[in-house]
Amino acid sequence: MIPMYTTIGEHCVELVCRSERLLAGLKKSFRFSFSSSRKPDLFVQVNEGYGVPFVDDHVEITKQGGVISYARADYLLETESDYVHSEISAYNELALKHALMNLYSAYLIHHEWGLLLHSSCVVDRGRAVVFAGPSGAGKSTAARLSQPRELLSDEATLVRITPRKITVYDSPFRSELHGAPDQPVCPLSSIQLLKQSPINLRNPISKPSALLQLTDKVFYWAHDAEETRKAFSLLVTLTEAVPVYELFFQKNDTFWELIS
Amino acid sequence: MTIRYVRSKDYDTVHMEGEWVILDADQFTVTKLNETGGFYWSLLAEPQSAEELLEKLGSHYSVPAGSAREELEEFLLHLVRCGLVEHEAA
Repeated sequence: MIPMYTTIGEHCVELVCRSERLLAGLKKSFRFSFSSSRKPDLFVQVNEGYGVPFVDDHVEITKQGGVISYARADYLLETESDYVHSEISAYNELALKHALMNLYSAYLIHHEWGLLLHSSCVVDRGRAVVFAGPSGAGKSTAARLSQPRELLSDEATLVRITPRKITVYDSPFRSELHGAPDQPVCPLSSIQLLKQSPINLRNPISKPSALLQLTDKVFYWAHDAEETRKAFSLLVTLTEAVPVYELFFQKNDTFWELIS
Repeated sequence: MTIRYVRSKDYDTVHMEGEWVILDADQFTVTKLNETGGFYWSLLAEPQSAEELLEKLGSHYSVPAGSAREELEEFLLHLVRCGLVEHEAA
């Protein structure tokens, strides 16, 4: 199979996909080329024919001989401990997407680059605004109601975290809403923790509360205390730098009056 | 016999805006403590009885020991349930 190349955040991924069916699914969200001007950061081989359709989110993690295995009913991800060389066997397109999110999130944390946050994100006047919350809180709804503002994510927001700057990249890990390709990288202005409500109201929350509430919004499968410390440290840097609010919002675009 | 309490292991902690956030790195769970909780937490690096904790709180914050007892007992119970604090090994 011929290797193909795609970019996620600042990273070049070399992908060898042995399944035309899975490749067709990937092409809905990822843009590929047959050559790369730079050395890839991640090398991934993809196979089909593993497991059963999606059962639940449970991932079994084992480590043996420098290889970490993440096994879910519908995918098996086997990766080296620096997450650079990996092999994914997946049942279908959904399983492959989740395995790639699992891999890329682990790669970002291991290299202390940033986090994938379970949230949607739109661009308002050149600045990124994140909407987070538990399932059903309205992340996709808030993103849809924010149109025509550009979308950076509707499922997993890709956040670059450094002590001096927090920025958001266009995320190919999408659920249903697809934005225009090649979105610019945007500084992150605020995070909203969503609560649907008959009224619009926005309250700032303290940094410790923000840290507490954002912990379960990180795509991370805990398996190693050192990696967990890295994820936590990135979250601390994020919450120290970016204001976090509770946003009670009506199902229309008037909540933007509280953000803009 | 007096029960003494101590942190069950070394935890990573962050002090932000007057509160403490404790990370359990094995589970990726975090726990937030207010200023008083953080004061107790800092003492629990070494085994402490409830009486000792109350006495130290009283001398540090000028709080009458009796008034904080119920709150402390609840706090210790909660931390034991979370696995952050355990009874001192015999």
